[in-house]
Amino acid sequence: MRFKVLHTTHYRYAAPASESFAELRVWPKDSHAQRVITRDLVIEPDTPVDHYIDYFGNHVEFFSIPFRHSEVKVRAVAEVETFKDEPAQEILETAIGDACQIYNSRLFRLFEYLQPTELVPIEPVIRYFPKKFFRDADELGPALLKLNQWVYDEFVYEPGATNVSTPLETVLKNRKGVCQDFAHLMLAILRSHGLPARYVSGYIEAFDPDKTAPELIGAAASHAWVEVYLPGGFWWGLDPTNNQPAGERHVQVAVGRDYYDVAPMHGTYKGVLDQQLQVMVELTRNPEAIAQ
Amino acid sequence: MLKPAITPHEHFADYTLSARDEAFGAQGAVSDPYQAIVQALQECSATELKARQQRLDRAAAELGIQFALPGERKENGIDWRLDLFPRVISAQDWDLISRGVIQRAEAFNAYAADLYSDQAILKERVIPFQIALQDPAFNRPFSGLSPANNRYCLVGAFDLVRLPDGEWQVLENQMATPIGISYILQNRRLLAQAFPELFSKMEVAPVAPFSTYLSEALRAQSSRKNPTIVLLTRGDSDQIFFEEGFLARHMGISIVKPGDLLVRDSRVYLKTIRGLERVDIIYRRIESSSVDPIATPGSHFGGVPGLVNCVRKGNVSVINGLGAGVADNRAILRYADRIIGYYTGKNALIPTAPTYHLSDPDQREYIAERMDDMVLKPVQDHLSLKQRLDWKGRLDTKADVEKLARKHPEYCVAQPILTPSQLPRFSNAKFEPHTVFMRAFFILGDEPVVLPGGLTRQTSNRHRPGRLSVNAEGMKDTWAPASATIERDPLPPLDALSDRISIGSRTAEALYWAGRYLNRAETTARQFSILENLRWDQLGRIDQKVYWPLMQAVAAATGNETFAKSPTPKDTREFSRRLVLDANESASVNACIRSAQSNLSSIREIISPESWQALRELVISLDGISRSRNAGSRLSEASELVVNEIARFNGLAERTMLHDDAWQFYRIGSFLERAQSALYLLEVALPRAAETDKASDEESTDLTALLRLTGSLDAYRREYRSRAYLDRVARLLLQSKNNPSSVSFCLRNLRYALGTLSITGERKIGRSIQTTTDALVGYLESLPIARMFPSPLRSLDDARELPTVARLQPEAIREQLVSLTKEAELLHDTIEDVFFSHQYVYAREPSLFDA
Repeated sequence: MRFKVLHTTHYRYAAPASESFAELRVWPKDSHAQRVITRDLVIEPDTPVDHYIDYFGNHVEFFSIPFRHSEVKVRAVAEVETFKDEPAQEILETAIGDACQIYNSRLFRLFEYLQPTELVPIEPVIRYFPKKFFRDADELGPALLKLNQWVYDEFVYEPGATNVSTPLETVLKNRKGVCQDFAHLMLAILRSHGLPARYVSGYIEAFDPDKTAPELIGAAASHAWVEVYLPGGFWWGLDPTNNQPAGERHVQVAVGRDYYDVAPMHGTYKGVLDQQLQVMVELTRNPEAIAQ
Repeated sequence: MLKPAITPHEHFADYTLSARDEAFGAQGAVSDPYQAIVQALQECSATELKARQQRLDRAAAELGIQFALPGERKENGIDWRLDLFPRVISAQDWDLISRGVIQRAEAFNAYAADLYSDQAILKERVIPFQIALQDPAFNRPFSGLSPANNRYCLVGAFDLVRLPDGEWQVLENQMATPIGISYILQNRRLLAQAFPELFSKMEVAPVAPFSTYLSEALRAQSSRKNPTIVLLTRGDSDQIFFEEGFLARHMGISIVKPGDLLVRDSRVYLKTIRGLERVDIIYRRIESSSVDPIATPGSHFGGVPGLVNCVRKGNVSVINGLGAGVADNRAILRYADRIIGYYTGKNALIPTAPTYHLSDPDQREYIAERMDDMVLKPVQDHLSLKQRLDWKGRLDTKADVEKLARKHPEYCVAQPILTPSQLPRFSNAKFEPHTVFMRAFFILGDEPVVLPGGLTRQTSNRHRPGRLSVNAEGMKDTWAPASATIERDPLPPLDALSDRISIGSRTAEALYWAGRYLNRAETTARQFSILENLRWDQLGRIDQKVYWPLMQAVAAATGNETFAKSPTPKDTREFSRRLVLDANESASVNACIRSAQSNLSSIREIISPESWQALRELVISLDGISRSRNAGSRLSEASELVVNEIARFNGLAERTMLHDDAWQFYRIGSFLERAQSALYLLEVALPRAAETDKASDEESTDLTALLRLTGSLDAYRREYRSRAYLDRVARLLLQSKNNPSSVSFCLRNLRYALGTLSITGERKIGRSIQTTTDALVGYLESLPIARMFPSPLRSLDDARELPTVARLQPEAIREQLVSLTKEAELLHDTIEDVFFSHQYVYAREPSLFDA
């Protein structure tokens, strides 16, 4: 499928800020599941942008606005083609116990995706959910989908219930959150069971133009899901917010150990502590068709 | 001529001997390296020795006072102790140390470089990858940021012990931000002054050039001929402040905090009142994860936004390299021999003390059985360890670390308590043995060197983890043999930075705001206390509504909108309490004083101790009043206290602080604030007075009150010797050149202070402000007072017959005054743009969103 993604971030300061600095991770990466066709970034006020690729392979753009300004607008546009890319059936049928043995043999490479982080603490998850989610004999694929569904069933999606700084413990206690919380929660469960997994930020097409009914969550802003490392090296995307594997309607932007590694915009400004933030994501399918 | 015979004194008759004694051994025979020292000591009487130690203690105490921060010596001051018995390293030992330290430094430097690139040592399973990847100092954002030549650690140190059999061991690596070089230099200077005879019998390698070696090594990291080097500190503890201040001075570089630096166009600049100075080399003394909040999301330690991007683009060098702290990971000490072997291909010349991991069950068991003989240490002293573990408490004491070991064994190691060598220590008029540890420094430049000397500490048997503690049980001067002296041609000296750079913007800004806040506090407090007196003495029982507008004018002058706009409150007492004492009310007297204090505390190093003490006392007294139960009825007392104490502070500061450019910013802030608060009061009070002004002979209470509020009643009486007439009052408060409360007086003094700044260098950036201020004074002094406030007694003040002019309506008067106030506010913006935020460059470029 072909999408045009428009991601705008708009900061308005209560009083003009004298300096703003930020790193952006809003440039979709090429992968086995997608290809970036065009890409453009516009920052207002106009300012030079530096680019580099970070350790996780994400495109990072850095900008600073050194003069007084009341607003910052970041407009990232990309055309992306996504492909159907699913793991082989026999991999999904691997017994969990066998998978873990394979992971252990590659532990050095996978180590960072098995560790707790500040945002993905393992200890509270074990405290709240001491049950074992996986048995050695279970088949990997169905077991992962079951966990995906469990998060979907047990937690309420409620925009505004949490923010970036809400600790996972609060999410566990209140049983509600947003896609970012569900991704962190699922990572903590997976890692606590020795299954390597990473955080994915991206976009999702919420309304299928071909159908009328189904709606997916996570359209208005950046979306987040997880990827589990499967034996053989396939990173399998699972979206607990929508209870499904990531598919052609998911556009991946960046991957990392947790949100901090992939934050779409992370920055500081010098000015009074009062700002308004507006983030908008628009995903359009088949942009040329529309243009014609 | 006959020389008096020297009687050798026996100071060591009762000295407890031990096999681990470096000087005497088990048998009491003086070992070779210590012959000269023992002999020199024996030539002194016991009384003489005592006198020498006293001399040393006195000089050390002075040093402590000199470098302790003002007002806080008692709590945190440096209790500097240096023993008169030095440590001597034999030529053989020094030979081993110098080779072994370089070997180890190069190996661990290579380890840091490897960890941030290929991780070959982990791939090849030479050491367990878990301990390397779990290191809290290992920060993924620094991958791919390798410093030039992979030089992660340019200057570092190792903590060494010498065991009874003469073997040296390394206890810890200190390769990220080691401290101690300044102590080495000071100790040598102190001992040489107090006991020069000690040095007469032996050739010792000099330590004085250490700071030169360091500054040359730093300079070599830039290709520019005259690079600008800064030492980046957080500057939050005395001990570190001492070291850094000393080093910066000796190297002729600037010491800066993150707020002094600014990133623009991918380059790092030092903000000074003369403009922006490009920085080439940053000698960092803060953790890597604290240098840039953008690069390390989730680290909440502040820093310089955008700095890491400049490093990535190669526009600035950070020394030691970002991420160098991984070499200090105590968990890898166990594998030090393997690491040295892996990267150098040779056997380690100096072994490492046994180190055990608590994460390994077998080792944990081993440790548990020997707990009393072990010292537990966290894997890193970094803040990032606490952050990763969400550790709220401290990690300083034994109990803290034991708690850490129970909860997070994977972040703890154990080392056996060693009984390393001992040396005589002179205390209580006799020599007693004491265990010694040593920190040896190296510079890993193009020609790696170990600095010939070291920091020997006499500590209890436990080698304390954490930052180097100098005030534990004293230090010893450490002597390397003269043959260890580093021979090299010195580089031509750098242009003294102080000639080029003048005062940092952060310092100027802090003083400016301190001046403004203290003036605001003083003005509000004085006006409040006058109103309180007026209320009781003159207005009698007149309804509070009469009294409210004046109070409101005072409140408006604080700049607080909620004060200014509120209608007559029911409870004026509560309103007054908030205005004076409420520290949470941003414009209150109390809050202003606190803001001033917080500004000054960020630049404590330049505040005279006397002034700092005066301000602290005021804060404490005010705090006492606001906490007292009857705070509401002690407002007059509080206000008077504030007025008097701020006057005392100003007097002390004027008398004891250096009157340099920085000081001028205190004055600029004070005068601008005073001018502004006068204007805020006058723009409310004068138009109202014009409305109610009648040419009657009655004394106007309002005008008298206004004169009192501005502290000008006496000035008025002396100047005019008459009752208060509106035009005269207006002239005195707006245009008088002699009345210290008049707007003109304040602006003229501000202009004078601006004129004294040495900012006329290449950039001449201060010129435009001077012109603006001149224009403002001109505008002020040409205000048509005669039309605004026609004199009922024109012939008295002005003998000329003036044509009758149209009188301005109160609304027009208000407009005149309001626009004057706006101009004064704009002056603040200009000062900020030119001197502090350096926005002046952009001042002419209209930006898209500028309203």
